[in-house]
Amino acid sequence: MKKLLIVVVALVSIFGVESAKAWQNFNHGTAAYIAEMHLTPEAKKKCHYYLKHTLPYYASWMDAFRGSKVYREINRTHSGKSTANGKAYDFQQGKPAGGVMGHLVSALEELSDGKYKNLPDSVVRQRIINMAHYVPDMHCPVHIHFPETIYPSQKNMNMLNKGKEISYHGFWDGYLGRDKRSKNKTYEEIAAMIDVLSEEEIKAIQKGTLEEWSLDIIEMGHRSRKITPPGTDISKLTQEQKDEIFKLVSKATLLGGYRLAHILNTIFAE
Amino acid sequence: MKKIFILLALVFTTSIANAWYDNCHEGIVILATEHLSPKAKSAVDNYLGDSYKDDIKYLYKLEKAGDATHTEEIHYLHLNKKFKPITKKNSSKNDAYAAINKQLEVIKAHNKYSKAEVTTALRTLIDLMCDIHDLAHIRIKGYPHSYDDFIYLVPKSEYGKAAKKYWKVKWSKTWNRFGNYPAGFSGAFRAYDMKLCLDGRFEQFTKGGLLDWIADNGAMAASYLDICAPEEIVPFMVQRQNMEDDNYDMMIKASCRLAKLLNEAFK
Repeated sequence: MKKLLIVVVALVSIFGVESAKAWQNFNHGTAAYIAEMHLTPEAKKKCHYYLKHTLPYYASWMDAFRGSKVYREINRTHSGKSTANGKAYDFQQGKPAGGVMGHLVSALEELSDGKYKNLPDSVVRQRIINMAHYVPDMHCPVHIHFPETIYPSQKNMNMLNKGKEISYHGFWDGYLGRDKRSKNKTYEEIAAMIDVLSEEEIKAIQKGTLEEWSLDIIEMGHRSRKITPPGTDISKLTQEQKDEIFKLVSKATLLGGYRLAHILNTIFAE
Repeated sequence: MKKIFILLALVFTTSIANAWYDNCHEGIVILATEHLSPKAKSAVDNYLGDSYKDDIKYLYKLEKAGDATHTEEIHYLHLNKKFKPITKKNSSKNDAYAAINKQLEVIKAHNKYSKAEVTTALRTLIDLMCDIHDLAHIRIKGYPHSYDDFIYLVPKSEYGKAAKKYWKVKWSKTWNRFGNYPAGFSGAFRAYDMKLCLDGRFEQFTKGGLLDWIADNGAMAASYLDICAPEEIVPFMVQRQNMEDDNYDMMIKASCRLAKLLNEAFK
């Protein structure tokens, strides 16, 4: 009996804590799929060399392993925070103050300018796996935290479902997998529905610095809180509200996917 | 080619209730078609080409209908401690090993059988090749007879706030879910991903024959019962990564070995 306990503990931690997964599997998988489709041939070749898989295969790896004591360090690197006035990401001297973007910057410093060539394959592989998660995660509207002087903390922003309290964070995290337009669809099917921008539009999204990208994240964070203020009953959402939510999570997923592709294309152009 | 893959993919969904999930079965079959010889491709297309719609869930339907000729046992391998099948090759017992051999006899001598008989044999073979690569379908003498006998209660403290107080887990269901991870893959994309992971190991995975493959699978199943000791709680996530990788390899092995069997049968 005891022999299998550890196996099951491990299995449960993958599948059992589904509801607690950040940005949820479908968003991550779709964003990584979109990134995969926008990799240059060179970047795709190198990613596949290191991963022996596609990007979406590892899209939720960081969530699956975040409960592990071994990987406890990655547990708090899925989100970021805004400045005190809520108008920008918390950058200090041009660098993000920790959080998901701080770890992304560390990864970029380690890999960019061809430095990845001097690292063991296993290190590069792990960095790609982490970035495949960080970049979509940091675009999730509820993965930006604002000071309580602007909004209540997320644990105090609960919404309702037929009168019963539900998590604000969980609602937004998992919306793409629940909306009737994307429910039970594959990553490819969801991507086919939302990845419809022109090359010029995609380039415009990929252009800029992390600090500039973070302004989109701040804007989406504010938007989500305005669409569903605390106490919103999701059973009473109008179609217009559902459309607005779907549009926002789709945008966040797209931005995460396009920018992940851009980062990997840049790193592996060397 | 495309037709074969669609037909096989649809046929392979027969076993969704038995092992792994839809997109994995589809992925296994799509990847297998890439390794079929032209002769085998043509034959598979011939036998599965016209009537597949009636039998998409062939074994599953038999099971649900309570068909006396179909038992749950057909989905399981029973091995001794040396990972050899306990059942004889030509046994009347209807476990996976005996059943695979029966299907192969029919497929190899396909000219002597009716088209319907060969079609049924093909469907069954495809299904069972998947089953015997699912570790939850392998029962080894001396090890827990049925993984489904075990239900575990895991305290909340292990997982923090998000977890429920206790988890009740069945081994076979949780192991099978590995095959469905990530859940949003289509069969075609799964096959693409599996091909990357195969990484030129086709010859390695198909070395030997059915008995060698069964021994390989049995050893894998036994190893997870051996290495996952309670005292290894701290590094359990490392084991989990191995489990994910190994499970994926098992799916790829199922695909490669299915292709090899079909190539040999339709020489």
